[in-house]
Amino acid sequence: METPPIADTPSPEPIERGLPAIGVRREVRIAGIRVAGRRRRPSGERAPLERELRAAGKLWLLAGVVMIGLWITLFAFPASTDWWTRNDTRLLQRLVDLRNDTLTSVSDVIAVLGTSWFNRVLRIGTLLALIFIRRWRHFFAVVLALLLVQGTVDIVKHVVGRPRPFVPLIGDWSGPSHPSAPVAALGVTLGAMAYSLVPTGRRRRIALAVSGVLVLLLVLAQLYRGVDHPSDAVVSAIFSISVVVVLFRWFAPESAFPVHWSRGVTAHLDVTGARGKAISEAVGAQLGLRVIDIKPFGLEGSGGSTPLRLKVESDPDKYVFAKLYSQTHLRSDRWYKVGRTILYGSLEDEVRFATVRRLVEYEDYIQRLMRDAGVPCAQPFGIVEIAPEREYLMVSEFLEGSEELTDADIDDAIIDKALEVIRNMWDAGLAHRDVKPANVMLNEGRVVLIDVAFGTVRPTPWRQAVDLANMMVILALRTSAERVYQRALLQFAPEDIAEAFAATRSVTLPSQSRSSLALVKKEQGVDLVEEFKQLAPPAEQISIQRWSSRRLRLTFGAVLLALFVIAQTVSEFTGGGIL
Amino acid sequence: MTRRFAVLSIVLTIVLSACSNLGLGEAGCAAPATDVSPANILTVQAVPTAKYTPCLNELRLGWDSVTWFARSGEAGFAISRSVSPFLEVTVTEACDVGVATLVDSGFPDIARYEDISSELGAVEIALVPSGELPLQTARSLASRLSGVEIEDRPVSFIINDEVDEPVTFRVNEALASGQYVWIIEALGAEEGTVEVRGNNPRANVSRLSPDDALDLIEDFVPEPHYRGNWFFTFDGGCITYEFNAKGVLAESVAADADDALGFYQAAELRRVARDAGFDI
Repeated sequence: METPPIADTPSPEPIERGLPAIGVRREVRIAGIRVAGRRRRPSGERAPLERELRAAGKLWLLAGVVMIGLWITLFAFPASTDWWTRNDTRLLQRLVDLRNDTLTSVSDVIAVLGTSWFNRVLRIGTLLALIFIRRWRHFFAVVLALLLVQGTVDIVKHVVGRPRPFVPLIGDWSGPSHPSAPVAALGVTLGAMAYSLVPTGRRRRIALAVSGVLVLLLVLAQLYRGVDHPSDAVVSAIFSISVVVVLFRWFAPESAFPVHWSRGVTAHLDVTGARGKAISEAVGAQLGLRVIDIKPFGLEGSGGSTPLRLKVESDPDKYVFAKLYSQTHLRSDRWYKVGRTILYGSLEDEVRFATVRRLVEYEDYIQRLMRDAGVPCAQPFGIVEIAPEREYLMVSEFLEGSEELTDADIDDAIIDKALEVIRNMWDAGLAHRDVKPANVMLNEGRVVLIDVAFGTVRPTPWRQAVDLANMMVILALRTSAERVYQRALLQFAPEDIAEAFAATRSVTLPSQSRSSLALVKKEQGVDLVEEFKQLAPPAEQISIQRWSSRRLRLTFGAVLLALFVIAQTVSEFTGGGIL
Repeated sequence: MTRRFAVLSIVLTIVLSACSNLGLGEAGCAAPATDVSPANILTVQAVPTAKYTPCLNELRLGWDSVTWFARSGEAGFAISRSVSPFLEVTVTEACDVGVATLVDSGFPDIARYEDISSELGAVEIALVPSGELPLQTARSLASRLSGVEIEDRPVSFIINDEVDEPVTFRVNEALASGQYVWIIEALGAEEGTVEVRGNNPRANVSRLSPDDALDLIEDFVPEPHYRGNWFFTFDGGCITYEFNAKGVLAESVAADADDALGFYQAAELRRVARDAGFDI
C-alpha cells in the first residue's frame, strides 16, 4: 500500500548527515491513519519493556502469602495452633501406621539429604566452583542466601519453640521442630546451586525440578520418621526456595548476570529476546531510527553500562553507539563510589545517583557540556526510555574507523590536538577523570574523548592537573617524555606540568595506563613519570587524600564487614557456621 | 501494591505473634497438670525413657542466663554467669558414675552420686611460735591481721601454742592438714619477720614481713572452685550436674543447685498429654 509522506510542519535540519531521520519530524499516513515516526508515548500506553510479574513470580508471591498465612494460623491464635497440631499429628499418625523395616531403611537413606555434612559438601563445592569461574556476584548471593536462611531458621526455632510431633520419633533431631532445619538447609543449598551454577532455560528448569523432587523426598522422610510436622516441612521448603529466588532476582538478576560456565566478567544486560525487541521499538519510536541489528560492543572496557552498537536503516545503513543503563548499573555506580570514597576520600562529586534516569541525564549533560566547550567527543543523539525509571539507552555517534591513541602513529600535530583537548577542559572548568588509552581515540585525524560519564564541573584543581598528566603519559607511551613535554610547553606553563606530576601517583593513574607504563619500564628501562618530573620544575608533592566523617564511617563499616567475613570463614573451619 | 502488601503482612504477623503464646518457655518444675512448657516437652521427647527430666525453679543470685538444649538422646540446660557456663545439667538414658560416691538423694526412687573436687572456705595459716616471746608475737599478729582476705577468701590464723612440742613436728602436722605455716622464731619476733612454709617448696621463704608473707601465699593459693559431677540415676534415665564454678560462685553453687534445680515428672507429663489426646 502506498504511504505517501505528508509534511504539514517544516522539518528541521538533520542532526547528522547520513542519518536524516534523527531530528526530523517524519510523519506518514498508513491506511488513512497518521503515524509519527518519532512519537510521544501517550498516557496509558505501556513502556517498551514493562516489568511483568510472570507465572513464576506470581507463584512465588502466592507461596509467600501461603507461608505468612501458615505462620499466622500456626502460632498467632491458641485455637488455630491447636487445630494445626491435631491435624499435623493425625496425618503423622497415619504415616506411623505405615512404618515397616523397609520403609524405615529407605527413610534413613533419604534423611542423609538433610544432614549438615551432606549440605556442607554441596555448599563448599558450589562456592569453590563460583570462585574458579570468578562469579563473585553469584558467590555473594549464595553466601547471603545461606546466611539468611540459616539465621532465620535459628531465630524462628527459638522464638516459636514448637515441640516435636507427638508421635514416636525415629532418628536424630535437634531443637524445636519449626521450621524444619534439614528441609530448609537442603532447599537453600539446592536452590542456590540451581540459580548460581545452572544456565537459565531448560537446564535450569530440570535442575529446579530435581531439587524440588529431592526436597519433597526429604520432607516425606522427615514426616515418616515423625521428627517434623507437615506444616514445619512445608514452611521450610517454601521459605528456603523463596529466599533464593528473591535474593538472586534482586542481587544477581539473570538479565544482568546470566549464568554460563566460562570464566570472565558478565555484568552486562542480555540484549536479546524481550529487551532486544524493546530496544528496537523504543529507538524507532523515540529517535525515529529503524534498528536492523543490536550487538554488544567493547564490553570488556565497560563495567558501568552495557555498550551496544546498533545498525540502523539508512542509505547506506549506518551504525550508532548506545549505552544501556539499568538499576544494576546504578548499583554498580554506587558501590564504585563507595570504593573511591574509602580509597581517596570524597573527591569532586561522589554523591550517589538516586535513579537510573538521573544517571543518564548526568552523562548526557556532561557529554553535551564537553562538546560545547570544544572538547571533541561523540555526538549525543538522545536518551531512549526502555523501562521507566529502570532502563534507559543513551544513543550517540559511532566513531567508525577510530583507533586508540596508543595504537596510532603519533606526530606533533596529534600531540598538540590531544593536549588541546585538556586545555579546552581546563578553560571550561571541566575534568574527564578517566583519561586512559581506551578513552582517547583518533578518529579521522581528530582526537576524541569517549566515556565522559565520570566527567565533572569545577573539580578539585589537582584533578584537572592529573588529567593533563594522564594525557601526557598516553602520548609519551608512543613517543618520548621529552618530546611530549616540549609540545606541552606550547599550551601549558611549566608550573602546570609540575603540578600535574606532583599530584600523580599510582592511584591517580588508570590501571590501563599503569600497566602500559610498567611495560615500557620493563622493555625500555624508562620510567616515564619520573622523566616528566625531572623535566618539569621542582614541585612539592600534592596531597590527594581527603578525610571526612563519611569516609571514616564507610571505612569502619568495610573493616567490620571484612572482620565478619573472616570470623565466618574461621567458624566454617571450626564447624559452627553456614557451611 | 506488592510492597504495601508485604509490609502489611509483616506488621500483621508481628502484631499477631506478639499477642500469642510463643517461645520455648522455661523448663520449670511446676506440676505438668498446671504448666506444660515446650522446653519441658522437648526435654521429655529427647529421652523418652526417662522417668524424670531436669528442671529449674528459679535463677539464683549470680546466675545470669540459661541456655536450653534438646536433641535426640539428650537434653538439658547450661547456666552461665557473664556468658561463661558454670553448671550444665543433662538428662540421658544412662550414664557412667565412675568413682563417684553414693549419697542420700532425699528421694526414694533416685540414687545420687557425687564426684567433686573443691577448694572452698578460708585460707588457713598456722602460726608456729618457737617459744613464749614468739607466742606473744603470734597472738599480736593474729589480732592485727584479723579480717584480711586472699583471692576473695578470708584468712584464718590458727595459733599453735604448744611451744613445748618440736617446731618441725608442729610444722609437718599443719602442712599435712593443708595449712600454710608461719614459723616465728625469737629473732624473727624481735625483727618482726616470719618464716613461711607451704606444701609447694617455692613457698618456703625466710625472714619476711607479715605483709610480704601474705603476698607470697597469695601466689600459691588456688582460686576457690567447685568442680565435678553429681549424678542422679532413676528408672530409664540419668541426670548429670556438671559443675565448673570458681570464685565467689563456687562457695554457693552446691547449695543453690540443690535449692533451685529439681526433677520434672515426665511420666506425669505423658499422662496429661494422653488426656489431651496426644502421645509423647
